[in-house]
Order: sequence, then C-alpha cells, then structure tokens
Amino acid sequence: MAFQPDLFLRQFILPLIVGGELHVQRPLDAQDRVTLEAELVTPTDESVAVERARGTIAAGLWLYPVPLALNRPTLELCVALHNLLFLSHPGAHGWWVRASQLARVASFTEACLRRPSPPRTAEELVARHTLLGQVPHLTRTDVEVRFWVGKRSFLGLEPPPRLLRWKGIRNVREVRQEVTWVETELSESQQQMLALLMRQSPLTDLLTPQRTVPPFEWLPVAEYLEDPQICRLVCHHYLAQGVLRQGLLSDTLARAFWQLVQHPDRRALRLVGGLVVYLYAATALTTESKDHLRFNPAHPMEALPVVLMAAAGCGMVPDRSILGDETVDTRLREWCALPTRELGGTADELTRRLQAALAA
Amino acid sequence: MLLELMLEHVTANQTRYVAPGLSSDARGIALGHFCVVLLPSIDRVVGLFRGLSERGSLDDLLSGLKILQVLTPLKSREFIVQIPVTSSNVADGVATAAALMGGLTFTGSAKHFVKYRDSGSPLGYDVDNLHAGAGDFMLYASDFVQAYNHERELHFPRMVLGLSLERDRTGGLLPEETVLLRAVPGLWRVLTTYLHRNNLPCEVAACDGQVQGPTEPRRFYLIRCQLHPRMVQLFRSTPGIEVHRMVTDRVALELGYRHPLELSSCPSIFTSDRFYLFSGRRNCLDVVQGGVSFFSAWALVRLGGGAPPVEQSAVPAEVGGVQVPLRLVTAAGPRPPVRASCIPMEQVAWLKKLIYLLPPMALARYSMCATADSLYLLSSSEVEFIPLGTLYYQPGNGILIPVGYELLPRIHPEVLVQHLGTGQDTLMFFNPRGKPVALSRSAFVPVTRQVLAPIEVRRVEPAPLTATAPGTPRVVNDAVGSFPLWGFTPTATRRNDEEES
Repeated sequence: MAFQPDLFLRQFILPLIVGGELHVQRPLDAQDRVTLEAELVTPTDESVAVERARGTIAAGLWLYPVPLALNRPTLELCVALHNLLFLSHPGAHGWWVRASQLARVASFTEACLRRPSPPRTAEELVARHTLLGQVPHLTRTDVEVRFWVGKRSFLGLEPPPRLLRWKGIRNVREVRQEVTWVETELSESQQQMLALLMRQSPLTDLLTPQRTVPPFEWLPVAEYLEDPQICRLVCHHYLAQGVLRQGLLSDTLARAFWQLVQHPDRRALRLVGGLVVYLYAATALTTESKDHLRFNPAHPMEALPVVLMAAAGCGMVPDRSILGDETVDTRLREWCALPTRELGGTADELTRRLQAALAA
Repeated sequence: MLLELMLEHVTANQTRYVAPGLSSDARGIALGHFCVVLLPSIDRVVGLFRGLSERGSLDDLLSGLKILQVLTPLKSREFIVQIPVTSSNVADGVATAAALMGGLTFTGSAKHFVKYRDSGSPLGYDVDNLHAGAGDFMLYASDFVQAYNHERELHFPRMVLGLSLERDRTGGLLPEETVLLRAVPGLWRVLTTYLHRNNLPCEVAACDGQVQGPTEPRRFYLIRCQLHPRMVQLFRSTPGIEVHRMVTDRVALELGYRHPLELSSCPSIFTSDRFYLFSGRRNCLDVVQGGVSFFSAWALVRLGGGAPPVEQSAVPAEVGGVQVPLRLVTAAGPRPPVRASCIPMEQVAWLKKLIYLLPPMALARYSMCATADSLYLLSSSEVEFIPLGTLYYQPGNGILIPVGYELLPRIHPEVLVQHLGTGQDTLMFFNPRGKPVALSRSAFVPVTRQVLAPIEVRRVEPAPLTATAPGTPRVVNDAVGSFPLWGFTPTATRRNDEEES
C-alpha cells in the first residue's frame, strides 16, 4: 500500500505527542519523506492537530512562543524514529528479509538522525522536546501465547484468533506484559541511533536521566544549561521528581557527574556543579531537614550530597549576597560540610579530583 | 423570441464589443450613449421619474429624454424611456430606480440595446451576435431578445403638467412660510380685510387663469401672505379659498397635496413668463399668462367704522359654578412614546419570560413597583421593550396617561400637578376605569435588583493548577507482510540527492 502522509500524521506523530497507539508499519524511505514534506506544504487537519498538541505541551514547560511547525528536520526525525521502531518490528526479522536490506534501512535512518542540526536556541530545544519527549516512555504490549505443544510470542502484535481457539482443549494461556521500548533488547545500532535521537532533543535527554538506554551523560547536554531559563526548567523538573531523595535519579546524576570529571571540560563541570548547588539552595529555601543528605558511604560517587560537597570545596557555592538569605546560606554551608564527616579522606580525594579537573 | 446564451459577460480591459455603440467608460463598464428602461405601463414611467427626481435634478436628463410607447410583434404595448447618460454613475442611478419600478435597464446608442450591468456581471454585458429582425428597438436581455416598433412619443413636460396631485398628510407649513391664497372674486376683499384685522401684511394680484383644456379664462385672485397656523385649517375648509405653497418662483402647489414628481428638480419645463398653480381639490392646473403682479393690500382694505368700546367693571367671584370634572377620553393622533406600564399580576409570568430576553442596557433602564394587584414599570428613556399591560405616556412631569387617551379639559400639565397638590416625588397614573393611582418615585426600584431570585452558591475549594500530562504512547506493530522492505529506496530522486548533499 502506498504511503499515506495523513495516516502517518494521525497514527504515528500525533500519538507520539499526546499518547495512544503508535502504529509502526513498513520502513519509510526517502521518497516517503519527500511525499510527507510535500503534503505539509499546506496545513492539513492532522498537521494542525499535531501543532496544537505540541503547543499544549510547550505551554506547560515554556512561557514564550516556540516554533511548532513540522519542518524538514522535524519530519526527518519522525521518519527516523519510525524506522528505528521498525527495526524492533517482528517483520524486520522475517525469513525473507536480508541483512543487507536491514543495513540499508539502518543507514538511511542514521543519516536522517545526523542530518538535522541540533537545536541552538531555548525555544528550539523546547520544540524538539514537544515532539520527542515521550520517546523514553514508549511502551509496548508483548503477548505470549502458550498452548499444549509450545508457545508463540507476539511483540507489539495481537495474536491471531485461531491461536486462541479451544482454550480448554489446547490448554491456551495468554500472558500480556507491558514493557518500556527502550528497555527491550535493542541492537547495538539501535542503541547508537537512540543516542543520536537524544542528541537531537537535548531537553528530553536532560529531563529523562533515569533511562537505561542510552545512558545519561552530562557532556553532550551541559552546554544547554548555560541558558538560565533552561537550567531553571531542568532543576524544577528534577525537584518535582524528588531528585534529592536517595534513588535512581540522584544516583544517575551523580554518577554522570564523576564521569564528566574523568573527561574534564571545565565549562561543563562548572555548569553542572552550579546546577547541583542550585538544587540544594532551592531546597534550603523551604526546609531545614537533612534527610535528603543521606547516602551510602560505600558508593560516594553515586551520591549528590558528595557532589555538593566537592562543588563547595571548589568554590562553586555563591556568596551570601547572591543567595540573598542568611538562613539559606547557613543551611547550605552546613549541608556542604556534612558528607565530609562521613567520608573523611575520601571526601578530600574527590574534592581534589574535581579541583584538578577544573584546573585542567 | 427566446435565445439561450445570447449575452456575454464583459471582462476587464475589454475594448471591442459586438453590440454597436457600446464602449467602456472610465470604470471599464460597458456603456452606450443612452440608457433605455423598459416599463410595462405609464404609472411605472411616472414612478421611474419620481425616483429619479428625488435623487437629483431631472434637468440634466431632459435634453435627450424620450418617452416612447412601443409595440411588440404581438401588438402588446409597453413603454420605453430613453435617457442620455454620460457616465456609468448616472446609468447606475437610472438602473436602481428602474429596478424599483420593475423595469429592465438596457444600454446602447442606436437600435441595439444590451442589458445594463448587474451583480451577475459587474462590467456589463455584450452580445455574441446581433439579432437580424425588423424593429426600431432591439433589446437584449438575459432571457429574451425582443424587437419593438415605435408607436407614439409622450412629451415629458406635457406628462408632468397633466398629472393629478396626490394627498400629502405629512407636509405642514413651516414657521413664517409665505403662502398663496387663491380666492374666487367674491371672497378676496373679505379675506384681505380679515388678514388686515389680524395684523398680517399681504399682497393681492388679479389673475386670469387658463385652465388646462379648452375652457374660457377664469378670474381669480392670489393673496400672498404669511398665515398663523390656526388660519390654515380655517382657509382650507372654506369653499372658494385654496392655500398654496410655493415650490419654485413660478410654481405653487395646493397645501395638503403633492405632485407625483419633485417639481423643483425640473424647473426648465416651466416657462418663465407663466405662473403655474396646481390645485389638488379641483384637480386642475391654472396657468397664468405673463406672470403675476402683486399689490399691497393695505390700500384696498375696507376699514369701516368700529363699535364704541364698552366699559365694564367686574368683581371677582367664586367659580364653583363653572368647575368641570377632569375626564379621560380617547384621543386620536400619533402615539406618544411610552414611559410606563401597569401590568396586572396575571401577566407577570409573561414579564418574567421577557426579562430573560432583554438586553442589558434596556434592563438597566426599567424600575418597578409592585402593588397588591398590579406591577408598575417605569422606564427612564423612551425606548419600549416591554409591550405588556396598560402602556402610559407622560405629558408632563409626574402625570402618566394611558396611551390612546387624553385629559379633558386640556389644561397644562404643570397646572394639573399644582391642582392635584402632589409633589415632585409623586407619579400619578390616570386610569380610565377608576380613580388615579398615586405612587411615590422612591417606591420604584431598578428591575435588575428586584427580579433576581436568590442564587444557590456551591462553595468549592481551589485546586492547584497543573498542566495536563500527555498519555503514554504505546507501540503497536501493524502487519507489514512478508516483504516489508520491498521497494525501499534510501534516495528518492536525483534532485533530492542534490538537496541532501
């Protein structure tokens, strides 16, 4: 069946933004991309619905207008994501599909992911996130049908009715499991392409550090923290997610910080260190509890309080005049000193390591 | 004769036309030297000129104007009015007036006349070929092509002078307007004396009128003066006296009548050495040859001797014997603006429904006062929105009288208020079926405050405002067949390759 742009907009791009069933079909090629682009020269009902949905999401994140039109780079990313999902489609591993054909699809997809330039302004950052923000949360319902002589798995597919007939006689059991797509068994090339996709939407990368694939790194996204409003948006999102409580988010951010120290980028280190200090300063405004400063001393490099301590040791905590409140300043300096008592010499070692990276 | 698709729409910048004599004017509209209006009867012709005369001067059109009675090949009679036009603006005016009279407007220069422009073709029409039939006029309309033969011509001045006057109930005399009184020989002297006694200066002229038609000249007198309003009705009801008002310096129309045309728009049809006196009651036209010469009437008035003045002395006495009761009687005449209404309690349900429909400005203007059996509404302006109950108008401050009634004797409202002894705060509603009802103004409260029923309010707690989170997208793998990669081409066309490179 010929490619239908309006169907693609309605069944793939729109659910990608607002949620719902995301239909993956045969891979889209360059001709389909051109057709899609030509279709969107004039606004259609679907494209308007997509823009409206993106606008709704952007309004929850950003105060200013963002460019929401489906332009060529945006469409290339959508086509690439579709093909990336197709590579997990059971049909991509059929008997009649050759490896060279799949390699061509992967190559085309990678080219689509590399061609658009990464966002440069904060508005573009938000606009990309409105499109791709749900990618780390994509789910899939896998069905496993067990019957008297074997079992069949259907990944994202509905089992055929014939397989479910005579349940009693054939001892048919149907097990449904909802999985997160990025946590499924993705090939190495898919993981690389997913990492490329995250590079194209740095705000999505920043706001979903807990994901397993691709692992979160500060280095590609640290430069975007230079925009104060983006930095504030990320901080508030982290605080809303409970970043200071001991957990996956806190551990991921701290681990990524010490990885950044190993590949020293002075500017990125100062931006990320400033972000962590901002997180604790914002917390000091509202609470004097020290519960969020607990961490496992056996794994100091997976604890955000240790990052705060090291950042304070490198002079990243602003003066009282900048903090503006004496109470906040007192609490923050007290919190900075707490990990030192628990870690002893390790604290000094980590602080020295950060100082060395900043001095490099 | 019916022909289909005979007319063609004129396009912008079209310069060549099939119909002879057509050309584009400055606005690009197809226009000939004449506009021809086809009308079915003579009264429509008069109506056309009536419309044209009210829009502007007819003198501009009279130079080449022709009114022709024409015959169709089936010998039915119609009228064609041929009007010279110099621009499409004039033709538009003619077409508008003709449309009101049910006429069709055409344009052309000689024999062939094509339908003038309309909303379907803003630049006009042309024909695709010419009709070869015989006839003096060939008219091309959207749905017919018709040949007409000339039968006779009607002269416009003769038609104007021969039209009967129509009753005019609206026109009254303006203050200090000079009128002409036409008096028969036996009355003019009495009339001038009467005017002299009332201290009204006047001038008199003796005229020998030539009535339209083969009759002998008749002598009558014209008296030029200014009248008190009370005299107008007196003279109009007196046999032998007619009141005329001047339309132009050579034309006068009887008061209470109007000519079918606006005569001031075509002064050129009236000869300068004649005076025209249109009479409505007698339905004739007096034409005075050589103009009219007026003389002052002071020298002609018969003064006579007056009776000696009577000297009497009187002493004021009680007037109880001449007191008359106030009566509310039905009255004719224009309906005054309504200021209040008295709505019986049975109609209050209707009022409730009406209040829902009232615009906010109207609702704010009304105040109300409820009594045991009625609801009184008072409006602060003269706009009527609630046509319920007995409607009242306000002839004077605080006096409210039902519409269609008046108070007798006709004393001034302020005198009535003083007589009633009520203050400025009291509203007196006169009732034809009983005694007047007095209500204090302070008892009236705005409707907006009075009519609103108690509102049940549900208290709710404020909820935190949060953005709606999007749902979770779920990947559904559609069936792709056994050959999903069949026909997959990483590059679309050479052009796209170039773009991508």
